[in-house]
Amino acid sequence: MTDLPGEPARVTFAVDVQNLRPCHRCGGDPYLAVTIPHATMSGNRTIPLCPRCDAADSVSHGLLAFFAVHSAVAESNTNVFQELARQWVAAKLQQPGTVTDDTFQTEVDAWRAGEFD
Amino acid sequence: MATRLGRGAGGVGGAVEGVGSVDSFVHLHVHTEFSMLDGLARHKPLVEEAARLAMPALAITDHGNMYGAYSFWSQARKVGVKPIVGIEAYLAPVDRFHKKPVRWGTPDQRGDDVSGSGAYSHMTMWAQDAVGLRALFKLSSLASIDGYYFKPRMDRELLATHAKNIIATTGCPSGEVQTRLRLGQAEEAYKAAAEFQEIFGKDNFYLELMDHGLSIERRVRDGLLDIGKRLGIPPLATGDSHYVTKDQAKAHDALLAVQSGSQLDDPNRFKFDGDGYYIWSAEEMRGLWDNQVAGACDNTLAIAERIGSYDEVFAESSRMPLFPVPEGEDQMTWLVKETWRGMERRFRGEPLPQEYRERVEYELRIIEQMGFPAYFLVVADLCNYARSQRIRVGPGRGSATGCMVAYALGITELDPIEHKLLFERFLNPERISMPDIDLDFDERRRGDMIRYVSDKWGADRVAQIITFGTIKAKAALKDAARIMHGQPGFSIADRISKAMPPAVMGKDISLSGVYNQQDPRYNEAVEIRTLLDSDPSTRAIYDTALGLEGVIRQPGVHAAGIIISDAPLLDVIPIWARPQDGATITGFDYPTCESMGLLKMDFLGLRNLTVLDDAVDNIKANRGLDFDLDSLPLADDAAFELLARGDTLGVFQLDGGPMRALLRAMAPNKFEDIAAVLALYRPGPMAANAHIDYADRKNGRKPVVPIHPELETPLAEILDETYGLIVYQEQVMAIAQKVAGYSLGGADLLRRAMGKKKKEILDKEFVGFEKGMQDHGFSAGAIKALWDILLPFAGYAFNKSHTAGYGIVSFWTAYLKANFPAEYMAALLTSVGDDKDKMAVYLAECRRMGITVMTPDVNASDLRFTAVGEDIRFGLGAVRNVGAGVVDSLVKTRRESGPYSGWKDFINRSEISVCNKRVLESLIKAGGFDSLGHTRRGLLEVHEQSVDAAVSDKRKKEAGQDSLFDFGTAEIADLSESLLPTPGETEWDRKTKLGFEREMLGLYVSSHPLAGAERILKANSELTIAQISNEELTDGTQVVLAGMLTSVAKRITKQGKVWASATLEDLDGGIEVLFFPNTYELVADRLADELVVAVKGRVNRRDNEAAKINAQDLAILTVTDADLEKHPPIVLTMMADRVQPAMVARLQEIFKMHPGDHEIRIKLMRPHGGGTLLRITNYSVNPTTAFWSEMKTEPAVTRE
Repeated sequence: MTDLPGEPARVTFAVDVQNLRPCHRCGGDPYLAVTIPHATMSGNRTIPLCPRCDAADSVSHGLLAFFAVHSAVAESNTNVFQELARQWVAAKLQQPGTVTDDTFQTEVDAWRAGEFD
Repeated sequence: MATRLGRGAGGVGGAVEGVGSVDSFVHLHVHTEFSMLDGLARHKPLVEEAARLAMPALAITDHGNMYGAYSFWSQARKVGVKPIVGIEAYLAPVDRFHKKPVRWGTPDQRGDDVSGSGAYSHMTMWAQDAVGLRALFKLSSLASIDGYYFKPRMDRELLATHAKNIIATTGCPSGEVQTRLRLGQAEEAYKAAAEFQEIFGKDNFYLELMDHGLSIERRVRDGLLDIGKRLGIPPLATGDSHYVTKDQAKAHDALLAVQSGSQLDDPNRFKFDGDGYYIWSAEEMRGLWDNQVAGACDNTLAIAERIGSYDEVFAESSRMPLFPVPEGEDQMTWLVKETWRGMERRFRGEPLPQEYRERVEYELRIIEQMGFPAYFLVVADLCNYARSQRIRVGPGRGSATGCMVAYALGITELDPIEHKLLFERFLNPERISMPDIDLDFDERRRGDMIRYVSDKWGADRVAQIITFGTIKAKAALKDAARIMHGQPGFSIADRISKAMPPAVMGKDISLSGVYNQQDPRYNEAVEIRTLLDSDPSTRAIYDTALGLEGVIRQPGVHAAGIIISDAPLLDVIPIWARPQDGATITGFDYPTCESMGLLKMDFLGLRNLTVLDDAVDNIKANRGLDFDLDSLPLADDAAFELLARGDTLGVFQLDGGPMRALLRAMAPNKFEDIAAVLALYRPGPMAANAHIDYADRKNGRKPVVPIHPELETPLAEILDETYGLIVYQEQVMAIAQKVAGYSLGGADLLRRAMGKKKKEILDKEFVGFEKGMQDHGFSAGAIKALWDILLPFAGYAFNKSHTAGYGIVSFWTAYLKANFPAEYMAALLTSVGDDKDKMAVYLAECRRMGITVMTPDVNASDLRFTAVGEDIRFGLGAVRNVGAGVVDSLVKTRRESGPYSGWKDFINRSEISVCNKRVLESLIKAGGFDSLGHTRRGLLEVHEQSVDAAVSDKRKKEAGQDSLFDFGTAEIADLSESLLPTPGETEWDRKTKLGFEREMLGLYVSSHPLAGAERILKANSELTIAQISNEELTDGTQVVLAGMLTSVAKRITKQGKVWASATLEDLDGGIEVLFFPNTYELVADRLADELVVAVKGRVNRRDNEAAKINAQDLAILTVTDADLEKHPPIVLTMMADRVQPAMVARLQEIFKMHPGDHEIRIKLMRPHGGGTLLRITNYSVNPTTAFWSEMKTEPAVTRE
């Protein structure tokens, strides 16, 4: 468990590198998943880091490069990893975490029109 | 139009008057929609087409039934077309009792042989007059009762017995004569024609000729005409019509594909060749036939001329059975005696008050005038029988509760005078109509009541009532899509259906209404019109569906109705025997039976009466109390307190969420409030806010405002009980009587007129109303004020007789729930049977009420749920795979020779039916053997071997071998010893154990995977899942729910996007949650079975389906093992640098003041990250509201 710097929003997040579920997008093995507090609800959300799906995501490049070089987190590179992880989570926290009402309603309408089946 | 035909052939023809011109024609072979899924023609457009074509008469000849006879007869008469009622009958190839396929030809002639794979041939017949029509009714009925084999079949014996005044033909190509000819059996064909001619008479038998351009019609034409010539059978041209106009051929083709379950592009499907199966004009028919077979068309006119009147058959005449009365009595004198005897019983010998005496005399007078004394005697007899058999009867339903005679006879249980119920609302002397008393019975015993009626009045005079299921809009779309696209068509149909406006009161807009600007719902159908206009393939489906919509699909049976006749029904109407069980069903629907004067009664099975009876039995079993609901005063503090709290889950008619909210606002404290709330909780009064007004006025939150100052006093006695509001129809009637001088009968007519809201009628009624009020001295202002109030409320107001009658059941159920909670809830749980959703709701209610529901136990459970002290024991009958027979055996053994002492004892003593691996596995997993001292896991491991050993021995015993080796018991015991679970065997973990329990019981009983996590769920949700349905939240309401995800399923849209559905469960229930693609993308990493989550989304409630949640977001909730503990630890968080001695002392003080079992943990956080978790060892607390209030005084400490 580690904390993100900066006041007043102190965010604690947990990094999991074991017992990972397959990436929900491609089914491949992610490098890690972080659990962070949900921005608008009580409870948490998790974000996986997937070498395939996040390859085009610039905020993930640092951590992806870390795993490409080190394969795993070891005592010798913990600090580097922690810093990269902090930066990555901080960036992820900035990314939209909800579906807008308009987008949501469009999908509800599409489903009601039978376009999903 | 009087003309001479003079063109008849074969001896028929001659003078025909009044049946059209010489160039006319009468269609005599016509299938309508009553030839189900084969005929498309509806009666009204059919007869209108015949009238348009100037045809003097028209026949119907539906396949094997006469169900459409009355409707056709009445429709034809309306347009001046003479109705000819007939049938295209099925004839058994041997006799009607021979129910095996019959072949007349060689194997290579199969295609030409007996129709229906050897089951029947066809014959066309018409009723010449009333005598013939009754004969056809009888023939078609007996064909169903005796001769059913794929189709209802007659035979020569039946025809010979009932042929009088029936005109018949050789039939279509599927007729016996043409079939024989096709098979090359000319002599047999001749013989058959001669036999039929003999049966029907030379003048009543015709040679039927059809020509739709089919080879099957022409192949044997010469042979057929030859037989006609030899036997002197006159020719008759028919059209085999199946639809009205030529343009309906495509729709008819679609109907046939629906019937055969095939697709339109299937080359081998059953279909008609060509499009000539419509009502041809006379010109077309004569153009085809006059030159081919002279007289064939003329003879249709000749037959039409010979058809007499059917009026006598269809006319209304009293067919009410007479009640057997003692010698010297008639129906009326006996009713009078029985009524006074009943009043004496009601008043327990006390002198009858004058008001009651007068009311009884008045009602008896009206009943006699209207000619219904027998009706009351018949109904009273039914109720008395039910009571004598301990079959609970509803205390009153509908307007009959306003009848004092019914109260005296024990038909109802509510004193109409005491409750201000009016007789005229039931029987209006100024409007003659049959009385209609609907009876509610314990639903398990409804069958007993039908049997009694059948025994009492004769099985031949009693029948259930047919209904006709039609193809509704959405089903038509589905059928059309399937026949056009096969299985994939269903999803297209679903898409179109979903674009339709939502159903209103369960009714969809009609397909024709989608493009009909006159349709009241036209404006709501923009979405579907847009879809259809933009997508030709969906439009094609719609167009096909349009042709199918509304057509009869199949016959059904009315859920409650029974017909009782004074004469055998075979002599009155067509009847049929349901093939599955032989039950006798009428061939005419209820309105037709009623219009013919047949007595119809509704026997309704009411689940709540079953609950009441079971609850009373439970009270006796659990407390030894004999309890009589009927003598219960309608006042009880505990019951009204329960109602005022809105704790009415499971209370009859007061069970829904908004209703419970209304009860809380109303705080009922008298029986009249229950009747009022049942009347007010309806769309009309609710739209007028009358329900809230009642609650507010009753509780002084709003003043009671008179309708007009002049009316305050005169209307006080009528409206005081409802705080000045008009709630009941009876009040509308009483007001008209009181202030405008109406008779109560006249007031009932006024009320009905007001309800119809037609301006011209209302204007007319107002004249009389105004005059009446003026005569009573009221001002114009008062008259206008009252009229303006009465008008809308007369439409909204409800029948008090009904709500009061049903209010008793509501009161009884509330009373039992309040005073005998375990006994009542046990009965309620039993009643919901396999409805696990309902059961989960009621189990949660038990938990809320502090009632423990224990898992089933072979040593304690019965078939049903039972009350045990203050708790409830699960019934064994509710365990999956365990039937009533097994439970009976198990309980019988236990009662006869004592409780089971262990697994071995159970196996040894149980009957062989119980020693079934599947049954035992289910009972083990459900916890049924927990009391025997073994783990479920251990028993599951050995149960199969135990059964194998025991069954083998039991079979030997049954075979008598134990008499040779009479030491079997010891052997089983020895064998069983080795088949006991290993001592010390550990139990499954909680999750597995509960998972199995749920598999067998449908829900978690001994615990719940989320038990202990209530606090977390509550903190992270706005509502429980049960509240979503109970509160009836509207479509689109945003909610946050918390629970456990199960059944997570990934799905793919047509565009290839991933979305998912899952079930979210909390301790009270479950709900389907949909994660559409964008939401899925956001939350997919958190979607997994058994994760505890909070879901934010919107309620999706459309088309009367169960509510769903369309998710917008999701958060994972952390539930630790500690959370699931009974006394989870209290975690307090504080910043380490803010801890001061004074604060610590204060905390100690609070901990001391609230001692309890919850451990305290303190999370000390460091200013720059990280922290320490401390466990307090000196104190444990009880985290009450007071505890947390005091904790709030320490702002540096926060609760986690």
